[in-house]
Amino acid sequence: MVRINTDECVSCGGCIDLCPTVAIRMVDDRVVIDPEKCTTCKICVQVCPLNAPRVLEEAG
Amino acid sequence: MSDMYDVVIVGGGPGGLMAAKVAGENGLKVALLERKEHVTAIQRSCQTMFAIEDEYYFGERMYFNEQQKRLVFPVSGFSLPYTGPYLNFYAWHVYTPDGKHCIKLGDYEQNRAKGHKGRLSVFYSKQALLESLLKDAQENGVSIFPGMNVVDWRRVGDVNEVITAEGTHFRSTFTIAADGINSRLMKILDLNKQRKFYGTLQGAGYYMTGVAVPHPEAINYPIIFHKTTQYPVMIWVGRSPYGEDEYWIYAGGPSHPEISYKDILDQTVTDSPFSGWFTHAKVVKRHAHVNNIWSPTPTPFKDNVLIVGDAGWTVEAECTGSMMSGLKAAHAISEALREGKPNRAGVQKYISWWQHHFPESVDYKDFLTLLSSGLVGEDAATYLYKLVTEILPCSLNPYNLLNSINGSIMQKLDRIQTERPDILAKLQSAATVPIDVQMKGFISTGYPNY
Repeated sequence: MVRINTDECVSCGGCIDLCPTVAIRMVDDRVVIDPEKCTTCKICVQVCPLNAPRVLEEAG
Repeated sequence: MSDMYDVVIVGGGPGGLMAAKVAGENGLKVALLERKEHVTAIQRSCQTMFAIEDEYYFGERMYFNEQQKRLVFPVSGFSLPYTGPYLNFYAWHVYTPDGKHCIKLGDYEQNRAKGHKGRLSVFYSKQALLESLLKDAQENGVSIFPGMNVVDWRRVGDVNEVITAEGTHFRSTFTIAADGINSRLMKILDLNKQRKFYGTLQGAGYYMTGVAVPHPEAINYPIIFHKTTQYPVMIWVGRSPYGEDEYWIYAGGPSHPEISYKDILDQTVTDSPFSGWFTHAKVVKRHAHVNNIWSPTPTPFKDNVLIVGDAGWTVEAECTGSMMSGLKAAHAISEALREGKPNRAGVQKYISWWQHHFPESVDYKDFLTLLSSGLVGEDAATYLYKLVTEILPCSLNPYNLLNSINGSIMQKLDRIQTERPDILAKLQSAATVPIDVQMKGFISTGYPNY
């Protein structure tokens, strides 16, 4: 799945808009990814100008 | 059974809040949904806006009346209180990538000597504008719902329903989609398939103090090129109305997997022909954006949803188009309900207004054409821009901004033919290729949300 590096993210919301599975939303003005809906398609990684979303290696 | 509204507005930017204020003033039962908790806090780029005072833009000319502290829209026939900060600026200076030459749009010294009468316009705070609109909306009975992520929409019989990730259903006669340039409602309504995709624009920016530019009260605008892709990158360095001695610095351009705009911004600040401007600068705040660029939606209406602002086209430019369309949509809904026509026929006036002002007037393609002098790559662009040594008139209308530069270059074709026939040949062959073909690269590295 993909995790947001909160030190880099400014919550501009671009990834929320362009996530094809509607897995990302704004909670308390911060960007949050729902791990159940994330398919690791990496669109958010590509569209983020601040390189904030990071792909987590699958465990095991 | 949840409340039934006359109109539910999705999005609390300039278009949505304007629509909310007007619908509230007109006596409608209105709900406005915004995904942020702090509705007016701006987390993405373009906190700093300017009015396009001295030209018509989308058929309107928005200017700032500093005596009465109002933003005035004389064509549409309304004005808004604006008591926030503002700063005059006097010229737009376009720098070549090597930083050695600057094209002067507007005569900085002469304009500055005239004070506010000589200004090109004012920078104003988008946040202050939104706060004023929000206050008006609340005072006129609009119910504001912050922290609402709209994830779905459906029409059941005569009722529109907006559904949030938080599990709330909002029911209404009309919906306004004011959810911005990457509108989710446009995608849900399947309206993006009627539009032409022109690519994705990305950008990263800093608010900084301690910046030292040669002309502080100008827009300082280096155009540089990404080394491996040769994609043009626009750098903006201008004063910010948000803090004393604060500047807004921004790097943006078309998306490409190899381009990180954060890296370009950092490099501009620390290691570039322009880094001398930032020797003592400190970052106060960061921001970013990603924008999909489409042609205007041909019809800003489907199933009692009215499309407002950037959701339907890149009309925001300085909030003018967003506020105009928010105002017109809210009035159209008010009329439709009074007439007992809660349907497409009832809001036809809005549809016609939109079509006349946007799809039938200019398209983003026209804007891209203006950038075409930047498509020839770093070497050619640097050469061409250095030919422009005279002070040119400045247009703040983005559709005219680069016209005077391109016009000046065109007057020097004989010289280009003698000195750089290779560049002239490049320009001539580009002129025969339609702009969307020239832009094919940018389109292919974009992320369309069909």
